[in-house]
Amino acid sequence: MSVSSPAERDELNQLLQQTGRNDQKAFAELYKRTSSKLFGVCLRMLRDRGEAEEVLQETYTTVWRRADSFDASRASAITWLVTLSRNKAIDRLRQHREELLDDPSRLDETVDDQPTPAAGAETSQEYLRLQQCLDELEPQQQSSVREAFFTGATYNELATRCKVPLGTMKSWIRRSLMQLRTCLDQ
Amino acid sequence: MNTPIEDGNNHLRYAEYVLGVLDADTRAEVAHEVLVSGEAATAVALWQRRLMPLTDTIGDVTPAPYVWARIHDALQLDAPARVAPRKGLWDNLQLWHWLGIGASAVAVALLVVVSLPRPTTTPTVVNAGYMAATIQQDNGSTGWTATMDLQHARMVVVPATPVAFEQGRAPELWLIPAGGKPISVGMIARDKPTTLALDPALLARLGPTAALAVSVEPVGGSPTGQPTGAVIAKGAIDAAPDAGGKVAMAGDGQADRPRDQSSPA
Amino acid sequence: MMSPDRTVPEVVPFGAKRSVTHAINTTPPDAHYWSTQMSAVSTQRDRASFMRIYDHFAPRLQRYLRNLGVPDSVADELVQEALLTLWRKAAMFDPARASLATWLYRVARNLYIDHVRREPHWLPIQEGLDRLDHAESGRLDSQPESSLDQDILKQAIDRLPPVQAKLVRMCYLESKSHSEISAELAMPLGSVKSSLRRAFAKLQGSMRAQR
Repeated sequence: MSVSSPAERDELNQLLQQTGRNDQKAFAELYKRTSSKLFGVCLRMLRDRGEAEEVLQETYTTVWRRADSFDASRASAITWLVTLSRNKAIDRLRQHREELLDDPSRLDETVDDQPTPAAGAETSQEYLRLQQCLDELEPQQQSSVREAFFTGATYNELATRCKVPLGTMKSWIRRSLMQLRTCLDQ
Repeated sequence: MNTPIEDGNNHLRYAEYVLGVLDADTRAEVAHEVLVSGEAATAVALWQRRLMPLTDTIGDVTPAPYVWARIHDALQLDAPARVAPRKGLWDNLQLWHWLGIGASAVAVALLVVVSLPRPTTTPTVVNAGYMAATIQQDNGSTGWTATMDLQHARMVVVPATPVAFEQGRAPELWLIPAGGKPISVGMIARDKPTTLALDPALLARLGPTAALAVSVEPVGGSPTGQPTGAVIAKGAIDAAPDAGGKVAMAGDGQADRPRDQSSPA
Repeated sequence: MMSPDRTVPEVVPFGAKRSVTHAINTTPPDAHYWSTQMSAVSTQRDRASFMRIYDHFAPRLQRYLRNLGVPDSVADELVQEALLTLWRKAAMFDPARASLATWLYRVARNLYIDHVRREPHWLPIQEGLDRLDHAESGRLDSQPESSLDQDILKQAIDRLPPVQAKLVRMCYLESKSHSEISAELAMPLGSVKSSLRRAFAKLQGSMRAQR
């Protein structure tokens, strides 16, 4: 699914706004066009199909109920939706944090050393720009940021995974955020 | 030196929130800030715009079809097959809102619904096809009125006076069969009419011995399947007055003052 | 106080910059080195310079704030804020007036004051400030304060940084209006007001400590 064209974006914005007005058809169409992206995100973060399905369901239930709070001047519909699904996934991870930490087999799956765009996926200009800025980071710091973003891990979990002291992880991430911020705002 | 006036955009904590590294408590704090402070909301939105493009690298995965079915059920959306094509009185939410002044008024209106000639080929509506309930709050004022259309297996719940709920809480409607456990009918809106589909199990239990109740639940509904919060309103279900009885409404559709005690909304 | 101009030293060409860094690595960077980095940040938005400043000053600011008694978690945030402020307002830095270290410490400290001000216990101090602001035309000395308080106040004013002390004297002892002070010292009105606020925050602090 491509959401990189402005026209596509506008259409999604409109569908989300219509959903906010209880338009069930628009909601069904919105689901059809965005659920595979959101499900990809949920799966990536939770690494468990059942959990990801539940979180996806929660996400769209919330979309239906809260779509009227969507403000197109703040974010595009797709950003709003992805953010919502990530937030739900992170909340879920926080609930199950102990289980996940106790299951090393799951942790092994987490590290993705191939952070390349999915085959055939169209990447947006925003992504290319972000990628350039990420490339300016020290390799270790860049992979910490990615790990954090894609797995929703806390500072503590990241420090454990990367086998560095908590303070080091914090300063890596904060330094990276600072650098990204200055790079992206140019 | 003058400290520049800041817009909250300098707080790295908002970035950490969006990145997802904060623990549950701190996350909740920031989430709360976002709700109450425009500054925080803007800073978080900016960081979302900065970081969300990372999800471009995640491949799409099509979810199984049953996920949509579950969402559909959970939200009690009209199934495509069940969407009533006829735009009649039933679908006129304005009217339902106006009717929110009391169950009697709804009942009166229903008399009109069933007795007015309809531009449709549907067989004559059975009089007993409707039931109504006034769901009263503890202080005696009407919280919602519910009207059940048995033929079409649906219920419209209209708030009389919007009830205040704290953040994160919402009203959930329950059917309580005589001597039975509450059955969730669905989440209802506090400030506008809600149309709910009634499944056969629920339909079978509707009747003069059953009651409706509204409890305070998390926005997504009771996590246990049973009411977990305070019951704030309840009311018995009555069959709508028989259409053969007196029609307390003038032919031009102007309702007489309903003869009930409840105060107008 | 810090005017957004201007005595910015000549911008080091990009190619030369790296070698400057290397040369400097052997000796501790001095004020001149940092003001060069700053000018690269403010005129070219040079991120490499910014990150050099960040890497050098973040731990130092952290220690500085910790020494002020700022809790670690708050200090962490303030350090980030201070450095982002530097990034965004680099043009306000004037090497003729203060070294980068001094400037940054001041930014961090002011952010801390702002932070404290948002805390509930700031209230008593805030009330004191409001009372002082109320006496806009400067009648602090004519208010029925005990002479002991007067003495403590005078001593506290003497302990303020010279500019702040001068502002306080002009405002409350010489009864000058903010705009008069601004004109007389050629200082922006906003700076006069904010410096006075800060001075009073300090005065309130030392007054309370004395009682």
